[in-house]
Amino acid sequence: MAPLSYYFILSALLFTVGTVGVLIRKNPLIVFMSIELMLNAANLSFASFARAQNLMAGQVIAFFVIAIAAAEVVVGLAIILSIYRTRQSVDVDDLNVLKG
Amino acid sequence: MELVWYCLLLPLAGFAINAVFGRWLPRRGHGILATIACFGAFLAACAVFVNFLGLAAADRQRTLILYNWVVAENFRATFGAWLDPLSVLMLLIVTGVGFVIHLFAIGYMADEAEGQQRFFAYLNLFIVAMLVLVLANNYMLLLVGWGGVGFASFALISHYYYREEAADAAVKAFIMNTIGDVGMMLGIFLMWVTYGSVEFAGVFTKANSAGTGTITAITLLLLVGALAKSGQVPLHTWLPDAMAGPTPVSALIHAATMVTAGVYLLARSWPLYELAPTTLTTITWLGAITMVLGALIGLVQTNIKRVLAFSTISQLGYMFLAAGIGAYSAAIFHLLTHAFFKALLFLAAGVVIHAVGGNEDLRQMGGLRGKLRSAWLAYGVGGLAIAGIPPFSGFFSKDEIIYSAFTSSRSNIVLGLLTLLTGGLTAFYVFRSFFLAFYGASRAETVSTNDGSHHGGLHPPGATMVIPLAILGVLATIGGLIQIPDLNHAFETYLEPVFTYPTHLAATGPAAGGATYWTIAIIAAALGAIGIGVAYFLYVARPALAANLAQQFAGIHRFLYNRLYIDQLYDLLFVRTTRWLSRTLNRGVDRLIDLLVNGIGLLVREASMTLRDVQSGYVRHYALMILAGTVLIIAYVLFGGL
Amino acid sequence: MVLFLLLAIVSVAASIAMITARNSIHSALFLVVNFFCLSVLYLTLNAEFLAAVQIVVYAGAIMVLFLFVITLLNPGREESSDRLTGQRPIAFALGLALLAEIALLLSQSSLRERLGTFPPAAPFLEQVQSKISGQPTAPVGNVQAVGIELFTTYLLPFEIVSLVLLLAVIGAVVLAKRQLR
Repeated sequence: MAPLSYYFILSALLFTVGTVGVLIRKNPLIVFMSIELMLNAANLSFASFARAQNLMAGQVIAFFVIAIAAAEVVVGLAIILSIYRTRQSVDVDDLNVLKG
Repeated sequence: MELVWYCLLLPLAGFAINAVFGRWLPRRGHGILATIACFGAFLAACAVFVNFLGLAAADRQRTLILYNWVVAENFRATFGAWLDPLSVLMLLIVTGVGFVIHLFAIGYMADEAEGQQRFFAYLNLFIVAMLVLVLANNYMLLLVGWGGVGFASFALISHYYYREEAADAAVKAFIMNTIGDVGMMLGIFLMWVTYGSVEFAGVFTKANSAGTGTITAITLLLLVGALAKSGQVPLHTWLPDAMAGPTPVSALIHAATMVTAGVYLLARSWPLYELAPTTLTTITWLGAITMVLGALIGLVQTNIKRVLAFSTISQLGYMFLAAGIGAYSAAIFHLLTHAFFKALLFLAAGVVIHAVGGNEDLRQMGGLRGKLRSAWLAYGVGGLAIAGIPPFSGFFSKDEIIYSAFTSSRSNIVLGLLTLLTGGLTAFYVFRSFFLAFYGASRAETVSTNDGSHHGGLHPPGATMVIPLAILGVLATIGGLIQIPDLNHAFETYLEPVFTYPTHLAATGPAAGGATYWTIAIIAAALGAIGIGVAYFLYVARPALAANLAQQFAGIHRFLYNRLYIDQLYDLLFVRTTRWLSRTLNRGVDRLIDLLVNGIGLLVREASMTLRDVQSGYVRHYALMILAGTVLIIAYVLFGGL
Repeated sequence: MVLFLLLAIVSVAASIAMITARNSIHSALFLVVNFFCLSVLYLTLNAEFLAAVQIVVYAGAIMVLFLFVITLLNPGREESSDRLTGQRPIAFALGLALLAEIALLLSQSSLRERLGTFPPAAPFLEQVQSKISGQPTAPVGNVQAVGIELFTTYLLPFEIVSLVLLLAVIGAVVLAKRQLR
């Protein structure tokens, strides 16, 4: 089997792709998916660390991450829906009311 | 409740009622209320005194603690009364003389349309503060009273606040006293650091444990407070100006009680002072200088109250000198008789001023003997007492100081001669004012008065003004008899428990008497008589000669009349310098600071305008920032030497 | 090794396709592919429970939700040209920097020796078992082990997560309602 370090490198790659996705896409749904991708990358690391350290904790935490991600997606999608209803737009860059 | 607390409580209640409910009282009600309050305090003080006499001499020291006042870590100051012969004596003087002067003030202030409420409220407040001062069982509490009398004095000097001179005098008094207060505060701080206590009992028992240098520093700092409060050189200039207050105030605060607080402080702290010879020498010489200067300046003043003010300064100089050479008992004795005869002189002057409608200028009086018999008699008695003519009270008290000045091992012949000669000068200037005011022809018309309300008629004093004169007159006459060397040592015996005399004075205790004493006493009395005689000669028999002399020695006269230009010197040294400094700072430094402050404002503004662009509002920008931050933090972890 | 490389290549390719796809439906589908790959990788790591949850929750529930929302919001909508100049290159640069840093971190990790190898299948199963019964007994399965951990050591976080999920459901309902009366 492949050494564990490969898993971490894969995890890092996926995380970076997710990060870049968050930064370059303007469709909030794809931004969201990118975030899910980052979470999965992190999960992969957790599972690998569990194997490396011989600890169950890693897998348990990955489980928690999935559960919280589910909650986050539900709320996030609801927010996107309600924004879409009021603004008729789903472009992230249209939401710049934070401008100082 | 212990009896002594009524002394505090009654005037305090008087003050509170007058201050809070005073507006609903009738016009004379303020004075009557205040007087009753003060009289109650006096009765309580008498009761305390009688109780006290019933105790054996050794038991005459009690400390009554009302409550723990300041407790912080290991610092502890109680609100308590330190009852010993000295404080009980002061209690009697303050409440007794205070009561008499309150009574006088009812009549004196009767014509005042407004301000009576204020006046009597503050008068009672003063009594409270003064009692706190003399009863305090620790230096912290003493300082409270000390500041309290300073405030009451300030408030009463500026009673006629609409007169510029009164307002200025009040401010001056306050500033001078504040200098003293600060000195005293520092002294108390140092005392706390040194002894770990500010209680009299704690400090005095441990007095020996500190080095001479430290004790000298403490005592000198306390002395600054005493000098300011008692109008001693070089902090004396406020006292003459303080005469801008109503005459009863001058009598009570600036003659009989408050200004003697400095002497009280020295006497109270004698266990400390005895360990600091340098300080004692300083006190002695400052006292001597003050004594002589006050008398010299008093020679030529034309304002009757200023004459008395300088005489107060001079007499306080006597007391300081006495304290400095270790004759504490003599100093307190003189404090007692001085309270009587100086209050008497001031009240008599008050009657005169009241009678002529507020004019205080001696040059515009004269010939009042026939019209104001009571004032004439009172002023005469007071004058004889201060001049040291037997058997009036001043004779005994002052001669004890003069005798000590000659015989104390800490004194020398120069000091002795100065005290003697100043006695002669004192007799002269007091009787100069006496003769100017009461003898000769009336000069009221020759110089135009600036007081429109005065039409040449005299206001005779009412009963409330005459009775106090009578009481104080009797006291000033016979007050000295409680201590006659070789015959009666009542006063010294009474104070014995307070001042266990230092050994080097024990052999020649101030009241030892004997031939030396009587010789000196006779010389002093003779000098007093000569002073009176000269005054009579110059101002009654040959009035022209005085003017001639003044002209002949115009330089000296002007020098003395302008009080040695000390005020001007202070003005130059402190006021003008400060003003110049302020102006320079205003021009130079202030602009720099402005530049700095405005610069900072400008900088922040510009920086904000620049940074504002960072807040683009685009969520993705923020996400980018977060990523950049993350990268940087990881870089720091990797390469930052961790 | 071959399996891993295959899965790795597929998952990275799918993720890159996901963030570059014009159509968001395609993005979602690429993400599902990615999730499947990860699920298999979990299996290779002896995390059978995670693999199952990955399929059920992510590929099943979450992605269905995504697709559902995408269809609600006009799928296939073209994005307008990027208004934020410089965002794209900076993002790439920072992404690369991040990657480099993670690689460096890995190379300096205290677990370096272990990471070089593939450690044998978890003796932690026995540890967990002994924690329960006090003595090592027959090895238990991964699902059982996770369950034991969850309901003993991590009971409180577990309950909190359940509360969070409940709140999320309520919150989603509130947000998604047309109007609040």
